[in-house]
Parts: sequence; structure tokens; C-alpha cells
Amino acid sequence: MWFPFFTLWMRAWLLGLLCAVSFHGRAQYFVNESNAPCPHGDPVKADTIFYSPTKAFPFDRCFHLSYTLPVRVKVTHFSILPVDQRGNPKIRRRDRRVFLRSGWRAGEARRAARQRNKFEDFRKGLTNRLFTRIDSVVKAGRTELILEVPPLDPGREYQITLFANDYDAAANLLEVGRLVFQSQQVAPPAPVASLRGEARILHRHNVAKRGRGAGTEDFARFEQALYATPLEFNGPEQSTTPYKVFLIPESVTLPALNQLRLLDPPNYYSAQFRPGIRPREKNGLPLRESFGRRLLGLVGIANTTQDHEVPAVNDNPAYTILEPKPSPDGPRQLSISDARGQVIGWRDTARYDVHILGQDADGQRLSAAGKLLFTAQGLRITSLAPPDSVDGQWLRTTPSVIGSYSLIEQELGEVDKQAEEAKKLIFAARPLQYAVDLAMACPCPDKGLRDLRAKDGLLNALTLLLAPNANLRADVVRGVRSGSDLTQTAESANYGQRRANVKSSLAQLDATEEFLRKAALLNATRAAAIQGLIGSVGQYRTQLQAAGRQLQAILNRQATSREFMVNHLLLRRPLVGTSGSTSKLDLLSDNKVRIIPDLGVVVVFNGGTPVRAQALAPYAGFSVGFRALDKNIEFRQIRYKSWRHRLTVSTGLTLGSLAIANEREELLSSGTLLTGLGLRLTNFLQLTGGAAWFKAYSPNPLSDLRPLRAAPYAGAAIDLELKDLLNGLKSLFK
Amino acid sequence: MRLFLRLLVWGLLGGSCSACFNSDDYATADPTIVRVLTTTGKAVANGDSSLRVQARVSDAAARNRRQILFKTSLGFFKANQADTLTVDAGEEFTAEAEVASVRTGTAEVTATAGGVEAQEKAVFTFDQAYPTALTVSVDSFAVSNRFNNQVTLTATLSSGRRGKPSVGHPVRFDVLAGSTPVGNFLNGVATASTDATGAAKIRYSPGGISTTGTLTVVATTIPASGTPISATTFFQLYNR
Repeated sequence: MWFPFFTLWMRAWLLGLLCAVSFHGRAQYFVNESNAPCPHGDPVKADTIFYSPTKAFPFDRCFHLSYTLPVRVKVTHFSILPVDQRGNPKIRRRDRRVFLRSGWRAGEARRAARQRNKFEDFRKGLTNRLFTRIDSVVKAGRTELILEVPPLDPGREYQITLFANDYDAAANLLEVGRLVFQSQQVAPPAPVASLRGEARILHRHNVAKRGRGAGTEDFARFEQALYATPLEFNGPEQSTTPYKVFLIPESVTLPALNQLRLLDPPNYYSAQFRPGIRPREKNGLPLRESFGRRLLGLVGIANTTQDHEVPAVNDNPAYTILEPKPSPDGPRQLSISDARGQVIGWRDTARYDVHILGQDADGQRLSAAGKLLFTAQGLRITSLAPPDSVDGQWLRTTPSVIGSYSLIEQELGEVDKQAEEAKKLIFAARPLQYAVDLAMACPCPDKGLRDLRAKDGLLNALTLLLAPNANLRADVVRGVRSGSDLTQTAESANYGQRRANVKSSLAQLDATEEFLRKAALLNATRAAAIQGLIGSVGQYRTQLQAAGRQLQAILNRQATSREFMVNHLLLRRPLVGTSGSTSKLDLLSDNKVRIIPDLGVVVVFNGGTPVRAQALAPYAGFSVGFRALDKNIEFRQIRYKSWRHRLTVSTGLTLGSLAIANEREELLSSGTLLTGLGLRLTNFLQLTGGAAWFKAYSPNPLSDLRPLRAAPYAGAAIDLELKDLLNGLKSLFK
Repeated sequence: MRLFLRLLVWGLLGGSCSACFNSDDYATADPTIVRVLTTTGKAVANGDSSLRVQARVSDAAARNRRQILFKTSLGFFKANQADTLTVDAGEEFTAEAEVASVRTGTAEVTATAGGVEAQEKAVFTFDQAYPTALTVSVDSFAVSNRFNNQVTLTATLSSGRRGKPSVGHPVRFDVLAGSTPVGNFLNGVATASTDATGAAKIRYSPGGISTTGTLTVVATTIPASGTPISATTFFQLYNR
């Protein structure tokens, strides 16, 4: 038996090392006995199909999928996960059937495997779906992989995941990303609503680019650019050893310094692993590679882990290495991202103490640098330490690009909040109307209105305040509308226009406020009412100013992020602009139900004892198949056939009459209607059987009824693939 | 696959199914589509007394296919005086007919509908009918006594008010000159039997009789009581 049985801990171990890979490659096909597991074959002898984003992969047969990883890694297992359009697992019972048949020959072993691996377990457990038939050959800096892929179903999407059984290999696998096979029938992903989608698209482009052979350096730089959070701090004076930075959950007691020293070497924090997973010990790791292991939750110290376990605060299995980078200018920077530049996913808001272990004149010293607050699943990292702490330590962070986009979303929320507040403001109508009447009589230099343009602006502003629809005033606060022209709207994502609108509105509001003040001075009887109005206008103005500041901050943040990305990514490594992800692969472009015209002969049985059969009658019709078939391979060689492969629903009309005088007549004038089922024997031949429908005479001669009666029939039919027919006809004339 | 083959075998073997066509259904028609409801009866064979027979067609019979053909092996149907009669069963799906006979014996009455004859038959028995009255007549007023001359003597018998005696009832004829029998009957037989109409006819020749004048014809028969009843008539004889 070539498929090993995994113990529980081994499964969990592999699950922890789950890595998804993106690859390009070539597929090599072969076929053999249809119900046996896919054999180990010589892929060199097989035909080769080179991968391209639009080429369909085969289905219903075993094939070799060969591709090259741009890293050195020993891959031991792979899994094939059917997914839906959103990438969520979509596992059917047939997948388990194929898995079992792919792994075991029929017999006791397969039965035992079936008992062991129930469908629910198969569906839930990734490690219950592992395939081991993979050849992994490390060459230079690359790894050539040949996966022996079991038969896939048409019209579905699959995600292939590679597994390695040691940490280094897993770390390398993390580098190559993820690949999801998708059929072209799948609708493109919905437009990304958030601003972060821009970065995600760039990310995808980068993955695709790396998949096309670009170096891993580009990929890492890209990831770093998107997700890394620079961390600046001042720690103890460095002497001979680099800094070691520890992120320790607030709830964990700070380890004693002597315990930390025990780690040097090894010198890293280990993670708390899930039950059943034991960290693999590794000695002598250099600091630059091993600050932390798997940030499932920082606990204790390596080798003494059991004494310091605390509840995990994060169950993201990302492999994490934190690398301090001393800066000659003073502040030290640390990128809070994993070793491959990927963001650390945090499930909840988490708060960490940052401790710096450094060497100074007095020896090794562990000092607190401050606290870091991780929010928005780790996208937003905030320093909680004051700029200058009492002992001279300080900690400062700058949001990553992705974090910036996250902050932009937050700031947009603040703008909306201001707009909602603006709706609640009430402007006194009488003094407003008085102001409008006053403005209509202008130009009036004594009130600050000298030209007609200023008068129009004033009237616009007064009209806005007078408008019964508070949504207009809210839109002005958002910057979607301008106080100077309420009919025009700006796109919500056009922050520059929105900021300009707010600025323009503010200027008009200033002029309006000034106008109202003068009006109050000129009319003592209305002064009190106008002063009240001025107060409301002032509040509105404050809200506008606050929204304007937020929009300006958004603009700045967006500009910074874009500039960063352009400088670090686009200008240095131009990306091919495409819509959607180029990592999509057309696995199949076929329909789920096939309608096949067919031609055949049937024998209709008239019942009675002994059975009386009528002469052979030719018929023409069509059959409906429940599954796509690849007619390039023989039907008997299709792997693990199910009823969907064989069964068809057929219908047709006989080409002659099968009527019997005084007993039955045709239901349709053109021939006998046949309906039934077909049993496919080959790609083009099927047995058919079913009912021939007649309008029968009643056996009672006194009755004039014509009941509908069916007579069983059996026959054979050949498919008339129109395309093949046309090709055949075409060949006759060549 | 297994199910498919099972269905196929079921179909080939003509598995029972109410909606399936079966040629055997047409090989022999269902005899119960028409039934004779009357079984037996008894009457006198006087051509007037009758017996009623009833038949019924199946409820599935279409409105225009409810004709029942009755047929009797003895006697006749009073409706048409023939031995067959077609009757429409109508809304009640039931038809009836009256059978009478002037012959004694057993009559079997059958019913047929849609070409299918009912399995049951009505069996009627007609008993002897005796005359209760008698008349006699000749077919000429006067005949010569030449040898080749003849007259037909007819005795007409009746039974009851409208009936007739059963066929074959004997009637004796006598032709008297005064009180002396004269002349010859055909083949020398002076007795004739009644026919279906109740008449008994005999041919009589007065050839060679020397006496002329009135000849008296006497017809005598025996009724159910056993006491002969007779009737007379006369004709003239003359010399040539």
C-alpha cells in the first residue's frame, strides 16, 4: 500500500505545515485500467501539455502535473481541494470515492480505509485528503515537482496545496503563494469594495509574475512593501550582539533574564502549538532566521515551553520570523511581518509588550520598549508607548501600506460620522429667510457683498442652510457636494475633489457667517435671532473643518501609500496590467449537461406470453447526458466512472410506423414517440431502453376510448456529434 | 447499471403494468362485456304467450355502441316476428326482448354486443298449446265431379283469444253427401296438421261421385279436454 496511514499527531503536524503553492507547469496524461489506482508511470513517455492560463486541464483521468518551484524544498504530500467560486471548500462524496480509489485497490484495504475515513472526516480534515504520490527533485535553487493527480471532475475548481514535513521546507513553501484552478465559467471576482483591493490586485499580479519565473526577491520585496510595519525604538547600546526583540503578550509573565540567556543559542521564542502538535526542536539557529516560531501565541521559552503556556491569542498558522535591523542613525527598525513579507494575521485585538534584549557595557540587558496594539487583524499596529518614556525608551510605528488603507477606511468612517452629526443641526428659518431677503437686495458693499459672484455664493450657502433636506448638508460635509453647486456630485473615491468641495464650502460658509454678523449689527431687533443662527452655522462649519481634515489626512495617506508602491514596485518592476487574476486556470469549459443527437434502432415489445417483438425500427432523437465526457480518451479508460458517466435520458421518434390495426396507432403522426434511458457503452455507442408511446384502442370493443399506452423497447444508438459529423463530411471532399 | 438491466428485463418480459400495451388484450375479447340477465322461463307455444329476456352491456360501452343483438333458437321475437332482434341498451345499459313460439320445445336466447356473445344464455321452454275453437273453409263454391278437380279444405284452429295451437296439431276432415262419406283425399289421408298460423289444409277430390248436390265438410280436432270439437261447411257438386 503506497498511501501511508497518518496518525493523528502526524496529520496535525502536516496541517500546521500547510502551504499553498502557485505554480505553472505542464501536465502529462496517461490512462490505464479504469478502476485501479493511478499507476506510477514514467511521465517522460507521456504526452506533455504545457500549462497556460487558458488551457484546460484534463478530467476523468490520471495525469502528471509537472512544474518547477523557484525554491529548494522537499515536498512530501499534496492535497487537492475542490472549491467554489469564492474559494470555500466544496467537497462532494465523489471526491472521497475518487480519493479512496486513487489510493487503494479494491479489497479489504480499501474497505478498511473507507471505514477509517468517513465522509465527514474526509470533508473536515485536510490531512484526510493527502496524496503522497509526488516526486520532488531539488535542482540548484529550484525544485521540480511531478504530482500524480487523480481524476478531476469537469466544471469544478480545485486548489492544490503542497505539504512538507519540516519547518524549513514549510517556510520555503510559504514563499510561493497559492494557486486556485478555476474554470473560465466562473464569474470574475466581485469588484473589490475597499481600498485595500488595489493592493490586493497588485499582490495578485505579483504572484502571477513570480509564477511566470520572476525571482523570489521581487515577491518578498513586494510583500514587504505592502505589509511590513516599520518599528522604531531605542534600546540598550549595542555592543557585540544584535538586538533581539521580543513581543510578549501582556498576560504572560516576563521571563527572567537568565532564562533568556539560556536561549543563546538557541535564541528564539517558540510558539504555543495546538494540542497534538509538538514543536520540532532545532538547535543552533542564527538569530536572523529565528526570532520567533509560528505566532500562534508567544509563550515561554524554547525547551521550557510547558512551564509558560498561556491561552493562544492567535491561531493563524503563519510562520513568523522577526528580524531586527539596527539602523546606524539611531532608531532601530523592525518589520512586523513574517519572514516572507506576509502579513501576520491576528484574530483579535492583541496587546504586546515589546522588550529589547541587547548588550551594553554592563552585559546583556532586557529593557521594555513599550507596547504594541494590533488591531484590524494585524493590519493596524499602534504604538502605545509615549514618545519619550520615563526611562528614555521609546517606540514608534508607521502603518504599512495595507495598514494605511485600513486607516483610510477608518477615517472615512469618521467623515461619515461628521456628516451624520450635521444632519442633526437645526437652522432657524426666520433669520435665514431674512438673510436671504437681504442678500437678494445686494450688491451691498456695507455688508461685504460687492460683486454679483459673491452674491450668488452667499445665496447658495443660505439656500443650503435653508434646505429642508438635511442629506444635502451631510453630503456637503462629506465633500460629495459642493456648497457652490449643489447639483454636482463627486465620486466617493475621489478624495481630492471631495477635499476641494469641502474647502470651497468652508469659504462660502465663512462669507455667510461674516454676512450674518453684519446683518445682526444692522438690525438690532433681529440681532438675537441672527446670533443664534450664527451659532448653528459655526457648528456646521466646525464639522466641515473636521471632515476636511480627515479628507486631507486620507489624501496624504493615500498619496504616501501610492508613492511608496509606485517607487518600490511599479517603477522598478513594471507589472503587466490585466483585469483579474492571471493565476486563474481554465480547468474546463464544458457544460454540466450535454445534449447529444443520436441515431439508432429499437425493438418494440408488444407484451404477452411469449414475448412478441416487432421488427427493428430505426429512430432518430437525442439524449441528455449528465456529465461532460472527454471523447479523446476511450470510455473504458475513464477513471472511476459513476452513473453520471453512463446514464443518459433519451428521446426520439421512429422513422416508420409501428401501428397495429384495431390495437394501437401512433401518438404523433410522424412516428412513434420513444422515451427512455440510455446506458453508455463507449464514447459513441449506448444501449437504450424505455417506453414507446402509442394511442391504443380499448380492448373492450364497446368502448371508444384511446388510452395512452407504453410498450417497452430496447435498442442501440450512436451519438451524432454534429461537429464530428461535419468534420467527417468535410474529409470526404478532401 | 443493475437497475437499468432489471428494468430492461422487466420490460422484455412484459411486466405487469396497467399502462403498458399488451397484444394479448386484443386476442380474445372479454365475454363479460355483455351479459344475459334472464336464465329460464316457461310458456305455452301458442304464438301469443311470450317470455322476456334481459341483457346488459358493460358500463364502459360508448353511447353509440350499446346495441345488443338477441337471437333465439326457437320461436320469434314479438317485436319483429323474427328470430333475431337488435335493441339499444340505452342509458341504463340494459336491453330486453319478448320471445314467443308456436312450436313446442326449448328456445335458447343469446345476446351479442360488439361481436362478443354473452357467455350466459336464456333457456325458455314452450309447452303444447291446444285448440279451443275451430273453423273450416273451402276454396270453391262449386266444383264438377271430374277426376282432376280438387278443392282445398282448410281448418283454422285458435287457442284462447289470440293464440294458436302449437304447430302439428291434427285435424280430421270428412266430406259427406248426406251422411255418407264421398270423394277422395290426397293420398287417401283425411288428417292434416296445423301450421304456424293455426291452419290445417288438405286437398280433396270429388271425382267420380255420381251424386250431385251439396256436400258437407266436417273438420274435427281434439282439444285439451279430450272431447272432439268440429266445424262444418259445404260446397256444391255438379256433373260435367
